Amino acid sequence: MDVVLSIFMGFINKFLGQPALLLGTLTFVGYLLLGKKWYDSLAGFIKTYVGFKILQVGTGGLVGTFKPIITSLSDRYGITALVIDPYFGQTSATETLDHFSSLQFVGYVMLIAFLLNIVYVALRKFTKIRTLFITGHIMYQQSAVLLWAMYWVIQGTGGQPASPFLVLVIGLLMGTYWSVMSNLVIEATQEVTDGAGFTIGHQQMFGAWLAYKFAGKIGNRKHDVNHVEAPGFLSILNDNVVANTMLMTLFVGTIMVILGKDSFNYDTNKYFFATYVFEQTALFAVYIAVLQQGVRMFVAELTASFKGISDKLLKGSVPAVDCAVTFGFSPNAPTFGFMFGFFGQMIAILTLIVLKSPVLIIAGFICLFFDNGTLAVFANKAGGRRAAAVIPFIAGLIQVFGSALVLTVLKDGPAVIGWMGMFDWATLWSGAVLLTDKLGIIVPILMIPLLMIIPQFQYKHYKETYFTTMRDTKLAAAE
Amino acid sequence: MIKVLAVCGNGMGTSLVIKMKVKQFLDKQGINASMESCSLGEAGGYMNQGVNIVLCSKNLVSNLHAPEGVHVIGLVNLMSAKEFGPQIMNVVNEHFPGEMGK
Repeated sequence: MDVVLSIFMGFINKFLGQPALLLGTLTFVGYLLLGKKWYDSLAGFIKTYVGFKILQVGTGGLVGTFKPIITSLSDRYGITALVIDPYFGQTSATETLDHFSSLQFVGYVMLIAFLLNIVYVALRKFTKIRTLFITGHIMYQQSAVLLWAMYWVIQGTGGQPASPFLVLVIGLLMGTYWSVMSNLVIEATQEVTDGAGFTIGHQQMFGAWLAYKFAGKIGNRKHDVNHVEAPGFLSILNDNVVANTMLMTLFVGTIMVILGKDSFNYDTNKYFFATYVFEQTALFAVYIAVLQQGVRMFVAELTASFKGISDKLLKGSVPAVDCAVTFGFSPNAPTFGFMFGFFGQMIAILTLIVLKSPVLIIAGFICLFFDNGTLAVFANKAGGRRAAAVIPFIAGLIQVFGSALVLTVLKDGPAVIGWMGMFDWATLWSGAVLLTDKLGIIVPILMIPLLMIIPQFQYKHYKETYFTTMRDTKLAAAE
Repeated sequence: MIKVLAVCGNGMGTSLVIKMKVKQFLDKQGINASMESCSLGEAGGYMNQGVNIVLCSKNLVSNLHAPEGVHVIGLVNLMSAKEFGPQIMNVVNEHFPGEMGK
């Protein structure tokens, strides 16, 4: 009996406890269930596994580059500088969870959340959920960050791996959030995209809904932002490598210059201080590119597998996809959102400095462009250019202050270099983590039924078209 | 075989969605094609390696700087086969008639 048990436990720890093997196996089984050939399934397994390992090279590199700068700044001035960008949040999450032998649980959270989303849609008559989240890189990122943050405020100081109960609760909460919020923003997305038949499955679904709801009170939808000529040089921001390097050179470069050249060990025969600073800050773009290459590889496989399964199980759910899919419908709005979000974040960051906050926020590109860009697209549709300026500006303030608040309880983890920063994560999740820090696991448990009330209200409001919108979109999605 | 590339700003979510949608369409039409997706920053490299058709959001077209012989299709609704379908078929009919399925 003991032998069987020890083989079983060995399998749990050394196979299912290894995140790359676990995700690879999920892809493999998913492909087999879809009736793919064994060799295609094997290729899926390998690409998921290798992709995950590439991803870890990227996250390791980000921490390795940034941690010495953070430590140096905090030793000298007692300030912790952290970046608000989803890849920095994701890296903090996975590296910290890995430190406590809990990284594999991210896969379980993601799987539980996805299955719960399917169950909600299958029972849509009662749950009123119409949407299925298929944005793979976001699903992984959010599962990792939510598990990390909740783990840290609930169990973190003990140093034990995440408990199975916590993993289950976070999985259910994650799936509920995906379902409820992507469902909440359907009607607004349909307006923005002229009934394109999809909804947003990203990091600012609640934010986009708010932006659409309040934009009409701020501006006039007739003054469309797309009638304004945008300055040409801003178009280089469309290239993430250029934008990441420029922002990091500006912010982290400034910090490095303040710390001074004596704080860094570099070969003065090979570098000027300036070229050394540029190399270090460009390394952020390097590691983000590596990280994304890894994510893209394993997410492409995992998403195809997930999507195949959901297509088999569910007909006629509305797909929740990446926020940038809306950008084509309002090409100027993202640039507008970026600019005004940037002003908002700068004012907020200066405020933190003036108030001598223990956490200093560094603006990240993804949050600035994709988050505020999306809010601007939704705001513009209901409130024109004025709303597309005002709302991202306010969002910029919120992104910085909300993230700084939640980081005050998270910053002492072993590999923390940042937080998501995106709207929902600076509001809803920042608040949830802070409350959980005070009250414990009861908060995430209670959030599940509370969130599920939202679609009931939504159903009351749109009763006539609620499921027909879905039927139309089903046709649109299946065309 | 035609090489098709889906491009978006960050190369993570949107281009993957286009890729899945377009692949579905191409398979249904019986067109002999392979598909990749990437970010705008990487697109230059791909395009020099013999990509035939590039699909992306309309607002990214001017950033692409596609070399001669690469057919760029800019889209408003990236999810709509009604929009990208006829445009792809035009390019295929005109330049790659040999890749059409029966």
